[in-house]
Amino acid sequence: MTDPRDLRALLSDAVSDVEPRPDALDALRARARGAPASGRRPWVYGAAGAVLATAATVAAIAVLGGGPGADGDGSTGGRPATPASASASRHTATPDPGGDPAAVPAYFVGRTGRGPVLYREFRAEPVPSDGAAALMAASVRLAVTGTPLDPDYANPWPDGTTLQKVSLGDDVIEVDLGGPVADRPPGLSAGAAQVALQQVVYSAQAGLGERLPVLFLVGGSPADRLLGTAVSGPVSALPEAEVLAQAQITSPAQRATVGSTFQVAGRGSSFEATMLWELRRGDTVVRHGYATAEGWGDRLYPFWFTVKRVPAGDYTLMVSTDDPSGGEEGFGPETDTKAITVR
Amino acid sequence: MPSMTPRTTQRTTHRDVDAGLDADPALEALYAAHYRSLLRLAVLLVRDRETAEEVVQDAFVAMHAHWSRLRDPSRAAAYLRRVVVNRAHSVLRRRGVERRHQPAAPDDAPGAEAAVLAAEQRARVLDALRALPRRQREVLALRYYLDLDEAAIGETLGISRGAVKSHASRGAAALRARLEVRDPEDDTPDDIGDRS
Repeated sequence: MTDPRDLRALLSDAVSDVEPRPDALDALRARARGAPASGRRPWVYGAAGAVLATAATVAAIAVLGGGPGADGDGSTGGRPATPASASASRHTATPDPGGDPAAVPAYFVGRTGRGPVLYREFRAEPVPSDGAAALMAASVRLAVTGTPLDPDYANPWPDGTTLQKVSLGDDVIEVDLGGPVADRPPGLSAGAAQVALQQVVYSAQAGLGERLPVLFLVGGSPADRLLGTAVSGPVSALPEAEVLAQAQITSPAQRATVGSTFQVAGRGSSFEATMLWELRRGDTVVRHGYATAEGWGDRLYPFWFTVKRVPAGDYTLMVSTDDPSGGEEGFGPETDTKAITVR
Repeated sequence: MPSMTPRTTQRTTHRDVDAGLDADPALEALYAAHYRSLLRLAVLLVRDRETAEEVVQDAFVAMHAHWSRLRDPSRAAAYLRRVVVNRAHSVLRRRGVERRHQPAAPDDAPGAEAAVLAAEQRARVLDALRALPRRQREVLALRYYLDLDEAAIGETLGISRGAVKSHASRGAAALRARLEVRDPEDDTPDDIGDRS
């Protein structure tokens, strides 16, 4: 390989099997939806070959991405709960209503046959554009004080819970809570209390984009009891297979309006990667099918499918795991539903 | 030693977009034109696909969120490229510290033997790239994958053309040396079998 053409072939071949994940565009849309379309100024762009230095471009890059020598604290957006890509600086982010809208990820609790599990939602909320730490704070705030869009989900934290501060330490996320968070609210099981802690852990990690454990504080001091559960030290995320709902619709969101042909994206883990779906109008199933996720078993994997030529109206979209045993084994299928409008 | 003559041919195809786009259509057009090639660039830089995807997603979202500040939208592609390279570097730096916090990636499902062999060869190239010093890896990826010329590479990385030239020649030699240590022909079915 002494010829540059060989190096070209070599590098091209090395990534020839790399394709965007199926929900890449949907994830981008979801994250960009709340972002400002500042001025909606028409513009054009050219092909990648045209590269000329301009002061304006360099300035924009310095603001957004960190310059070539910068420390890389250029994260501006949120991301789905996938591990390890943000490069957040060590600083504290307090919840701040100002800033640009961003798609804020947060987890809420839903019920399944095996008990309470976590579902993820995205919400367009103002987030100061100063890095992943701000988004992390917004995610945690939404998780402990927010109301889920989907009526099937709930926020397990008691009324009166407040978020004092979210900070990013060297190897830990610190979440400082206030309000009646020490005792277990009536009706909340010990298992559900564990899930509530995981809800904060997963939300913080989704906002930050890294799998750091969460150290819970109450009033500035490390918590030893939360929701009636003893806590000692940082809480790590439990495995996805254990704590996340195994069928989740990412897009369309609850109460979304879509065109007559629309794409559904989600995450799941189901027997042989088979995710079942149906679209109902009232009690009538008007479309149904299945989608193959990118994997199954150990964690959630993305799936997507397209629903075509649906007449205008209000519908319920349901995705479920496949349960070949018909409920004979395990806890039966897990589902996620979204009320949507086809225009 | 490969010739380092600038070459500006664009292998990848780019969809030209007319004026009149506002934010979201532009996002989709940029996605159609650049997402896959930037994703592949990111894989060359960080090796791990999931990380690469997040790097590229972040770059697109950052641009979308701030494009009023991008005074010259014709530079969108150059901007995206630069953000991807910078973020890839940041991720690698940070990952060195925090790898232990990441859940283990699931093993790829074993496929047909030929597919496994092809995947092995691709993995060797990616591993060899990953072992190079950062600038050499970046220059090789921009030059031989994206087919950028020296000026464009220098602009993307914020380094001089002379530095581009030097990283390119050293990187090419180092990559070649790493790959020639073990020839693909030496791979035996037994080696492959152990992986599955």
